[in-house]
Amino acid sequence: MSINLIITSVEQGLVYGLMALGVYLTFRVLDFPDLTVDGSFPLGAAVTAKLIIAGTNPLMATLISLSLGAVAGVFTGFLHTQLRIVGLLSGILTMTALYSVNLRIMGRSNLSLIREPTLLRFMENQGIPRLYVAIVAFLLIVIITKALLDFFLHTEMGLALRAAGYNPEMTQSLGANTNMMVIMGLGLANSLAALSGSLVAQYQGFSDVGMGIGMIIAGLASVIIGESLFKSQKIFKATLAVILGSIIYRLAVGIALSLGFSPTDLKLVTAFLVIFALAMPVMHNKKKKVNFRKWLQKGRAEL
Amino acid sequence: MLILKNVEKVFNQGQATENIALHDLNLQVEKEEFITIIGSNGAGKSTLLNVIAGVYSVDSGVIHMNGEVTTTWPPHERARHIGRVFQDPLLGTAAEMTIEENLALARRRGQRRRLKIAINNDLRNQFRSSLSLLGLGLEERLEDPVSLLSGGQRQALTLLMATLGEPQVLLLDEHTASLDPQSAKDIIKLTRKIKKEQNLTILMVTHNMYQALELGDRTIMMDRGEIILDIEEPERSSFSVKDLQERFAQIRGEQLGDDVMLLT
Repeated sequence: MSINLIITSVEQGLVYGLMALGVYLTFRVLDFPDLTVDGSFPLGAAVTAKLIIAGTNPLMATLISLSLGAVAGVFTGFLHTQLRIVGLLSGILTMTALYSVNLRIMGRSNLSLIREPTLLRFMENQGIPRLYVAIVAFLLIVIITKALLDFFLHTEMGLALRAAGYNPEMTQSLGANTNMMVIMGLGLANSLAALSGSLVAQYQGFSDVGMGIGMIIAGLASVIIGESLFKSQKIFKATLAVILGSIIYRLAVGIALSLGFSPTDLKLVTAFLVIFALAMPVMHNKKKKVNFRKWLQKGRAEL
Repeated sequence: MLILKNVEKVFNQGQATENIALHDLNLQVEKEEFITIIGSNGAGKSTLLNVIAGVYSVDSGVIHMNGEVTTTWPPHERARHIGRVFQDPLLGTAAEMTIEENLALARRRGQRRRLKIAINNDLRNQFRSSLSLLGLGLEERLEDPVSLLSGGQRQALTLLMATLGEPQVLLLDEHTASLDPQSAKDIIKLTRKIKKEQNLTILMVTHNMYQALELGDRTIMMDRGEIILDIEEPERSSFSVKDLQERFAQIRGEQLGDDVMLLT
């Protein structure tokens, strides 16, 4: 394992870790399988690329991307809570719509930022050595974001949001509007995804309309890896686990690539990693052995 | 305090499984009254509580609470006035959150939830003194996740949470039915204590006829979505379980068939 591989993996782990924090928020805290992320991540990238090329200050471009990500999440929340569309489908609908939106924003399927002033280039100009610039920048942003998220989840509002995921009936019986909490949580999660997308675009030097594909699975893989490190009900540790999970995931991807895996096979590998992780409890539980024939028959009966 | 007028609730209307859960139901509850509600399975007891709490919307009729018409209010708005304890101890608390987080959540009933850290040391002290009244040692375990508590402990915590944030009405839906006998006794004791100290209006559904006559000051019996018997003190104190059964037979022209109701 070369030092370069490690540095690159940590950089990627941190920057994609922001998106994974969003996935943790929806899948784990809100118990809402939100697929909007596959659209809000490239939305962040597209908006940032377009704005920076148009001459907007990169910090401003990043903040605008982040807020538009929130709008995407709120839209999914609206579909689910107000129009009563199933959660999974709500996310898919927004994600699908965002594909066209992202193309519209960029005007074509990809935009280059190679010669543009990005946040990273700005920091480089402040005298941070080129080798460390991404790691310093991402570490800083991840620490700030994690601290803010941890804080939020301990506020009165944050408690209500967590309770809305764990036990919605009870939360309502205590006077909290669970629909509002779902909308807010989705907004927050997708602003994190868009922030992640924005920074990735600035980091790799381009935005591509396809860069969100499979993002949700990568995020989920990070969450699961993190939980296998340490599963804690303490928010501070749980969010830390997600970020470490993201770094380990990127490290694993890096190693797989250096072993000669084709980059195009990575999503297949990741999907199986997640399937394996999700299936672990079932395979461990010998009393509840999966009888596939029965299972299929049951599935057929339900159809 | 709480008035239900001509309330009608039908499940699966127009389908083969149509079920009239509440039929032209009228009920007036006075402030600080403690009403016990009995009736066999499917009589509409739980539906009544759920309609009051706003979990089910009514098909017709009006609900007044504290002088306001709450018929169309969503549950979280009605929760300003109403505290609830469910039959299943798992339902009343968030298992993954700590005892103090659950209490902090309950404390903001009817108020805006702010972007402010929910728990501080002052609150911890308040929580400790409230919890110590339960006599379960929970005051030493503020930071334990609720999932570590027993059913009885969780139900006691739920009862405490249901009274935080100054609700005026407490809805108890067979809140001792899934507990072991000792915990059930403790919870009933706690219920009495809360009633004594907090001047709440209480509606309590129970399967147990003895308990129904012993607790509170008014008992109503439901059958097929209607209130068929409504007895208050002082008349009630002369009522025995046998009287209840006879009255039921008299009114409905049939025997009260639900064994569970007699034995528990």
